[in-house]
Amino acid sequence: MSIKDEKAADLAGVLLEIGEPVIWNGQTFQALVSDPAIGETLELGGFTDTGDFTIKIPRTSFGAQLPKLGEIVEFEGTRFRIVRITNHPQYPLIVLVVGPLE
Amino acid sequence: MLDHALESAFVAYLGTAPAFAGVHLFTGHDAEEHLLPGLTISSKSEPLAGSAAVFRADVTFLIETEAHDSTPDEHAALVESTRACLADKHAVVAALNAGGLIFLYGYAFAESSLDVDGKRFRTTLTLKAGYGTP
Repeated sequence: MSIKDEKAADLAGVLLEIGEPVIWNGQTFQALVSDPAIGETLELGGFTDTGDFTIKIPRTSFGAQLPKLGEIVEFEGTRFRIVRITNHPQYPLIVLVVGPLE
Repeated sequence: MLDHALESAFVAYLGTAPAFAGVHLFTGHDAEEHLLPGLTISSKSEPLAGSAAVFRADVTFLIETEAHDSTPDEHAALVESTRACLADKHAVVAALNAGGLIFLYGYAFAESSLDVDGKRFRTTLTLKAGYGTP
């Protein structure tokens, strides 16, 4: 078993134990979600949400289509916008950095 | 205090316009979630020399749309709707004065500016207004 296969197997185990459901494009994925820390700043015209957190989803969970910047993901009933994406071929996870919708 | 009353009067007036259905209207001093598309009206006043009852204000209309959720054309249309709603000065003045919050003598558009901020299209329309207590 290659190191890559070992990582994939370990990852499957981790997701099984502590993965959380995240919805993207109408599909539900098991993901590793960091602490969803969202704050707010008072600006002219009210409170604006600030902050971001990461959602990591195995690349193998996706088909040909991968998430894109600006798209929406839903976690625990709240919608967030993808503001950064990390997609390294040697890393089995797609990392989505998400922030407030607006 | 009077600035907020002037802002509130404009918000109340524009809030009734069909063009702003689905648009979130705010005064400068609002303490609620700032949702988009949004129109924020804020005022900065100074009293006319020798007067404690008549003020000159710079009123800014900040029109914001989320760049992922709207097109530049949609943003431009919202800006144009704002201009159109304020074009009939007699009607606007009468409507605002009927609200009883302030007494508006008149106004004139001063400038506009385009901007982007993070993920937002932002256009600011500024008008100069003369107003006082009712």
